Amino acid sequence: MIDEVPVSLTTPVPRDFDAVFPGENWFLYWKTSASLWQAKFQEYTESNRIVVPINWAFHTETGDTYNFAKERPETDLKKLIEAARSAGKEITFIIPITPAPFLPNGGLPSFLARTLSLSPNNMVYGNLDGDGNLNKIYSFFDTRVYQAFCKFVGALGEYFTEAGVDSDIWGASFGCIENGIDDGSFTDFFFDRSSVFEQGFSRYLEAKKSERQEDEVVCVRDEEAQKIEFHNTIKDLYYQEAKESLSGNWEGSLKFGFLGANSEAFFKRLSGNDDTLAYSRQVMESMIRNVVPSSILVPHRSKKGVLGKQLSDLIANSFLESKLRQDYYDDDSHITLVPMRFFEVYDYETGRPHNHASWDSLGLLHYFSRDYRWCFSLSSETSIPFDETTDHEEKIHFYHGERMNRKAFNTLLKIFMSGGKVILNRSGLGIDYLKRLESFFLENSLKVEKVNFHTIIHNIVLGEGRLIILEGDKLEDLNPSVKLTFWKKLLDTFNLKHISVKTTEGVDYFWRTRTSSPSELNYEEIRRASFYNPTSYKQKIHIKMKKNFALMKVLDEHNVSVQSSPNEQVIDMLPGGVISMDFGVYS
Amino acid sequence: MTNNDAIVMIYDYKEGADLKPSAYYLFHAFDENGLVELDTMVEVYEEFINQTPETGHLPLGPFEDLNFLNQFAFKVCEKNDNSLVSLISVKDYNAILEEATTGVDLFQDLTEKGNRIENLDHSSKTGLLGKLFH
Repeated sequence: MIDEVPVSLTTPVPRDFDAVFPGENWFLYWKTSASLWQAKFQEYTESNRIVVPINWAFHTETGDTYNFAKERPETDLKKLIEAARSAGKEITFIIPITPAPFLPNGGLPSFLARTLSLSPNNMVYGNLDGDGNLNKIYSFFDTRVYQAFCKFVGALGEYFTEAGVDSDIWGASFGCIENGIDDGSFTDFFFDRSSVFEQGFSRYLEAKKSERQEDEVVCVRDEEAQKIEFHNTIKDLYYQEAKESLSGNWEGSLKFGFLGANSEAFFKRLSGNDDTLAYSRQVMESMIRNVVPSSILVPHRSKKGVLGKQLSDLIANSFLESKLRQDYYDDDSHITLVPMRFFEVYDYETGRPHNHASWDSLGLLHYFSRDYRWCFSLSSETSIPFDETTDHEEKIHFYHGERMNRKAFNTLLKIFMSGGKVILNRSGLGIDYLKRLESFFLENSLKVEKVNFHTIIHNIVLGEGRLIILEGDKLEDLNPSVKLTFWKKLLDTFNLKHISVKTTEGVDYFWRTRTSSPSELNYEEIRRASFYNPTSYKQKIHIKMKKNFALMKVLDEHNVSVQSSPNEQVIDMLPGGVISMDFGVYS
Repeated sequence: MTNNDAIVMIYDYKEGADLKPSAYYLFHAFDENGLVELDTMVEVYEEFINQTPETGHLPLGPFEDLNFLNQFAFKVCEKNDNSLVSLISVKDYNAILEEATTGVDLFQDLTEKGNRIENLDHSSKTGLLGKLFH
């Protein structure tokens, strides 16, 4: 294995500092002496928000007692908060509700590390941390692990109350963004197919069978779906237990996707290679899935250059903060940038069999990658209740008929009625829902416009709201370029305001948005496009200006040159080039 | 002995279902430079087995028996000019990983503890002359 030694002419940053601050404002309190906490916080200038994962194994050896400040000062979380505050920082705790890839035994105390988790390919999960240590993942489906977890979060909750800890805590689901055939999907480290999982699953099936008093034979296809259901049920038990025990500080749940943790990256890293190009893409893939990317497994030497800039701009100082503070966007501060999203896409869950085409195979995501790059969110969660506080008018929501349930159906109709835009793929939609839709149109005297364009499209308008119903399966076999044209023509009818960007292959960019500040009242909104060239080639970007958009400023230029004209901005990017541009949007 | 120039290949036996016969499949292949290119392996597969693989991605297969898989592995090793290929079943891989504590240990164990097939025609490129005249 090649051991790369970075050559630097500047003063090297002490490795100890890298170990305690491994990336994106994370602080690993067990990696340094409590007497140094305050000095470390003072030294850290990236952000005032410090994210602290709680290390279960560090607080107990036998599971009989839990140590919070009693024996070792490094377990004193109250002191940690005080050290941070005295350095002007705010601590946010995260408690893993899945195995943690950056900790030995996945974060389990050693007495609980009994059964190794198995991946879908029956392989043991291995993760390499930034120092090349191998962390193995143990099953959370072992009942002893669950019982010990309950005891631990109970003790932590009591400690928080007694010590008067008032910092927020989030339940964290750790996983990774996959490459290969499951490209871009999020897999959490709770996943397991070991014997412990299989035993638990058998008991679960038995219990379900006796509940229903039926002798159902589970066919293979159903079995995989039931395994996912069992996985989600047990994971929810962990989540609920943590939530109840820490209710005074509880803020909700977050997903974290670790760069360098999927199996492809693991084998590359085993031979000392970090694929920073792949990581750059995973940062974007994570954000559209509402997963917070984390680079803490990646050595600091690999985070220099474009990847480091991307993580600092998009994650540490923007996306992470927007996730940890729900009021982030509404905050009166004008520097708050959040991902630009025109579309909310609800797709099939990874690994769960489905009979009808996914949005990806209908060419929708391909179209987005060309015309609305990363300006969408992707979720498999369809049972989302309607949120009255959200502005639905701004976004277009994509639903699949096959995944329809009562909650999703009601939400869909409420979005439409409150002026939102919905595109429903009726392939696989149950007859009950079709009838309900028909009666909804009749009851509200809605006119249904019918167009035949590669498939039958129904267009229904209600005030500002639009509902488009199409038969997705008819699009699946079309030529990719025809699919692109189809989506362009359909989505152009929504008159979305967006700037067209053309890049050479390898350059990536991400749009964020914020409200205008009092000094920018000529604009309704400010949009920032950040461009990154992680390749080792020269690249070119063409930005076609549109009416309603004005270039306000160019910032963070590095290895780039810009040629401006009223109609177009042309950016020449050298390898490692980075640039951001702010555009004001006006009516 | 450590061999940094070795390819490690991890395979498993998959039980057949829905008219698909049971067979061996290759799950991962990597060497000191990272992953072995899938295109190279698909090319070798097509030349050697005389058919296209089941899918265009990993796991690559099917391989009727271990003998076929070994021969395929050797041909990939030859084509990449690696010094040897170490073939490991998923079961053995899991056992090796359980014992390892660092990535370096694991890589070394995988190259040493698998079914090793040496490429005797491997050109040593370690010296300057080797690099220049290869």
